[in-house]
Amino acid sequence: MMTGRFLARVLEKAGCACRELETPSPGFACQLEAQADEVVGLVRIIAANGFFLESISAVDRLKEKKMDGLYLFNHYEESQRLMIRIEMDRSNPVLPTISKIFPGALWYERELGEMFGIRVAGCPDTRNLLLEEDAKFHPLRKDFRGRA
Amino acid sequence: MGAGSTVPPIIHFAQLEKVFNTARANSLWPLTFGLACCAIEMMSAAGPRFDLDRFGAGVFRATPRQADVMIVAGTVTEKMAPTVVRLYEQMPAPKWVIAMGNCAISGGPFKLDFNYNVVEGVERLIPVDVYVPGCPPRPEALVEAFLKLEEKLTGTRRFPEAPAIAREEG
Repeated sequence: MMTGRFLARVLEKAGCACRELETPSPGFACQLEAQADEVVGLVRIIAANGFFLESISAVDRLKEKKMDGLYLFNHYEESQRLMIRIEMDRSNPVLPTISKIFPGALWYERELGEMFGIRVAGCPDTRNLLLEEDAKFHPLRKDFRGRA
Repeated sequence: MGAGSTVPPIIHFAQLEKVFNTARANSLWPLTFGLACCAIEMMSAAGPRFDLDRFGAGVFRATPRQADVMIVAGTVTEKMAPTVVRLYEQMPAPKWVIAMGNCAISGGPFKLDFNYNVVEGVERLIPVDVYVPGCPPRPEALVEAFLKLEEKLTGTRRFPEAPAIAREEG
């Protein structure tokens, strides 16, 4: 088991069993697969145990018609890295906002919205972050073939 | 000649214009304004080693209302485009524009089929007087651009051309 004892205890509190990954990603102590509605509770416990947000990203799997939301967390003292992966339907990807727990998540969530077209439920700010205000395309989707 | 990229005035006073243009050519105040890595070369050109002040062009103004030249130094993104246009419109005439670097000329390395966020050349937004190719151009190239602009204003070149570098035949 790659997962450290510290992380195992944290995840036990979250009511989440550590699962050995078939293909463990290098550098990550643990990769969790969760449902979109579990995210907020999980992140709240992770935050309470001293983890901080590294980034939020996404993967577009065009062939499987799926989209994965990725939450990356780090810990300084325990030198742990943790990834939460949320599988979503590609036609209507929705993630809950965690900007009330980590205020810095807001910009990542805005970026997810413009780059992948993921709707972030409850996000207090849904304006584009990097693209122009009226941009309606999602450039990081795999079927993006240039604007217009 | 003196109007730069704006509409020239209806009445010209030829001799007065000449005097003005000589003055303008030797006090081209650029706008403090950089968009990408070309701005580092622009700063270098303004520094003591290349010293744009020799040509009266080292007075970088922090407001467009005091500037004569806009050096578009870097990549113009779609998000930045309205701001570039606004800064240009806030500059009082006569005003000139130098497109510095390949990004400002044509989009440079970002001119791709699936480019979605880079304006392919600042000339699509505002009229450009001098183009400085390079990625990024050396500070000497920017100094040369100011000499070219001087030439455009006064009709004559005040400084001698740089001597040609001897190359092997072949």
